[in-house]
Amino acid sequence: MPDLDQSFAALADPTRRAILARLAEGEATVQDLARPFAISQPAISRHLKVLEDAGLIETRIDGTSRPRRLKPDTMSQLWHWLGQYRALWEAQFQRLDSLLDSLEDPPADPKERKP
Amino acid sequence: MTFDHPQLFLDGATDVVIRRRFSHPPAKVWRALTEPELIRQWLSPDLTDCQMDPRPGGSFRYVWPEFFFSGPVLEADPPQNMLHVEHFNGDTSQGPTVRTTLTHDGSGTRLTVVMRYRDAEARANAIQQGFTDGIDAVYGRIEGLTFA
Repeated sequence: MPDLDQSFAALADPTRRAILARLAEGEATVQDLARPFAISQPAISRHLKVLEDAGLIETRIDGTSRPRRLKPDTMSQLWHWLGQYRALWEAQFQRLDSLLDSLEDPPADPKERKP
Repeated sequence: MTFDHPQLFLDGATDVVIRRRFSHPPAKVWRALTEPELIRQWLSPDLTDCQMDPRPGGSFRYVWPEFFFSGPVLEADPPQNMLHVEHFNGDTSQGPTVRTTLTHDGSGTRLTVVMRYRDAEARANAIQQGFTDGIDAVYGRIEGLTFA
């Protein structure tokens, strides 16, 4: 299992999340990635190193080109975790739905906005 | 807009956010989230103790056989806003602040729960802990986190 601690820490930065969103559309080089962001290629490279150390992306060697791409295993682990977490909440919420259905409606409160 | 499933996402460096729609008005949802005898009915059949005093200066305490969540209530504006701190097993050195917001959504309620951790590392630890503890422990943890 990847180090989720490191993975989530890497996700804490909005630029790195934007880079991941871009890579979700397909692999890209540092030059490709620097273009839409108002930051330098060295800064992009530093973010890419954090993402790679966290196991979120990998580098493909293609001649002189070094495109980055998402590392599917780690991303699917994170996705799996979020899905599991969401399912657990939903189980709770469905019990809450049932309880709410069984409660009497409160008396009308004139302060509350009516739909 | 309806939410058939809860929306769950990580926001910024420190927050975990959950959103969900309920088809009952905020006053009713507020009761279910703050009255101990109602909390027991949806939170967990395993609770051995359930206390909630939803006032500024109040506190809550939800006890399972193996662990408990507790902490102070910092803000409470029924039926739309509560802010509390959530400690696990009495460890007051950590635990997120949790803001619960209820807003009108048609004839129902839109619930937003924002769990804010001290920093990105604390959030990552909480998430990873939930993941590695396995499904049963996660379930207990989520139950505690939900509206504790």
